[in-house]
Amino acid sequence: MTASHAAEAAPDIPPFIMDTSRPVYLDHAATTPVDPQVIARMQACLGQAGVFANPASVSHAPGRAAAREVEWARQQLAALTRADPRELVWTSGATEAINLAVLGGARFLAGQGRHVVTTAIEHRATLDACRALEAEGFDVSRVDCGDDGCVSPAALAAALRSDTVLVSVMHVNNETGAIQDIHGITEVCQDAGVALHVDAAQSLGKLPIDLSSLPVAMMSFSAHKLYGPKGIGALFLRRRPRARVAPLMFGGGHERGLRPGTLATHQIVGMGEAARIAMQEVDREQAHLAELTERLWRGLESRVGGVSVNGDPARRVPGIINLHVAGIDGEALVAGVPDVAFALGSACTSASTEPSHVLRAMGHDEQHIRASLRFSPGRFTTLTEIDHAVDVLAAEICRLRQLSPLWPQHGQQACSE
Amino acid sequence: MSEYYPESHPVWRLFRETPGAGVLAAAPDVYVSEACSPADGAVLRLSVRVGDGLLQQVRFKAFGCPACIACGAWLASQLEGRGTDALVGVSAMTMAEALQLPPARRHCAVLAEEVARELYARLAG
Repeated sequence: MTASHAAEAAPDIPPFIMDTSRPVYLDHAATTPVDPQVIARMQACLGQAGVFANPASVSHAPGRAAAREVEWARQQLAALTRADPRELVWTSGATEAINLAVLGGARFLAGQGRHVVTTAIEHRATLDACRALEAEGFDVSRVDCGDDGCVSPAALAAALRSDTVLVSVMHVNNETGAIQDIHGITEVCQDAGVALHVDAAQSLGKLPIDLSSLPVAMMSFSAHKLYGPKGIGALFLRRRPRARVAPLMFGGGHERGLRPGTLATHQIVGMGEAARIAMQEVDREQAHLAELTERLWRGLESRVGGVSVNGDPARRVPGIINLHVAGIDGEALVAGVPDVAFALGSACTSASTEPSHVLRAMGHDEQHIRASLRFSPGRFTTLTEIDHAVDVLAAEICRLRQLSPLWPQHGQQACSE
Repeated sequence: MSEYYPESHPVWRLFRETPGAGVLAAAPDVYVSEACSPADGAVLRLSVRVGDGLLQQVRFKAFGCPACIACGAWLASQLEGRGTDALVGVSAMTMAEALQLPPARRHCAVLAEEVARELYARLAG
């Protein structure tokens, strides 16, 4: 059991969890803290007394020990996803895995066709990789989602052409938490004989993934959304039927020549340990997250009103909730509540001035998007922290509404805070 | 883009304290103007009580980012007690400098200048 589930009562809580001087961190969809068990395992790979040798140096015992650690980690990730360990290639993160799948996959298959299908709600890693393919002369179709934030398999099927060589779809949307119909989409791609890549950065360790029965060609993973370290991820490449990609980098035979470079033992072991913990904790953790996000949503709604979920509340991962709060500007709210760390749209999107492409694809206008906030509590978040977040958010929402010339809007009540 | 304003930043202080926030009840000597920014949907409303050629009371309401709210508060605090001509003296550039607005937020000062000029036109009309 990790400390999170005992955080309300147990005395042996790591100090950082109860440190009230830190903001309540509700941005785990952007990144998670590294689990203390993962840190301990990683540290054992760094120093002179640890497993620091090059895993490729199998001519000596320290090198073989490092290689064993790397393969142990591969087995953990394989067990979590029910893949064959030989089907996993270590990368620097999901972004690189996605690039290898999309760019490498399309380039390898270019002789068979130059059409790629993706969706309008993908992470920028996929969208930008597809844009790079267009610059190389590929055609890219982007399938829209419905107002629930989900892409229908039928809409995706309609976008396929005789020269389509690759489809890339995310499993869980990073902004809304919307769970895509991966089984339906896999079926469509199988029927058409087109390779499918799934971006599972937000679903690994949160939803069951069974690659022994789900016939996708490729799947991308990240460690740092799963209490592992940043800077490590993996790409699943199916062995039978064999998924092929052209490598993006050159410089050695590591990872079967697909991803050269000395393996980062400590990062890889960190991801392996994170996968091992996730396997043990997934059910309890998801129930905990469902309780937290529900409490946040209901708490805010009962205190200030005008709070609704962007997307289908019943079809999201429990750990991500995207709320529209009528009558407020998200930037003012996030600035006015330094006690709570949360995202406007997606963290990746909010680094630029563009409003969320995901909420836009769902049919929301700019004003709605500016009043939309993403909350993603995590393994170590407590009910007490959620209650504190509700308190300070409700107070600030009321202050901003009282300042607004547009409030109360039609049918809305004045704030009672 | 969400900027980080340190506690000492003028935007932060005005955004937190919002001097002059509110609205004046409708009366023959109360004038109201409103401007909105099509770029980001921000709205600024100014209401003033005028007497003896002076802006005796100035209140603002604002919907938008912290810089927009700070511009409303700055406007209200600068104008109260001054002659009505002060409305045409409001300059977006002066405001942007006084509030140390980052370039991406200069349009908030333009919005404030606009609402002041609109109010002056109402008074004159």
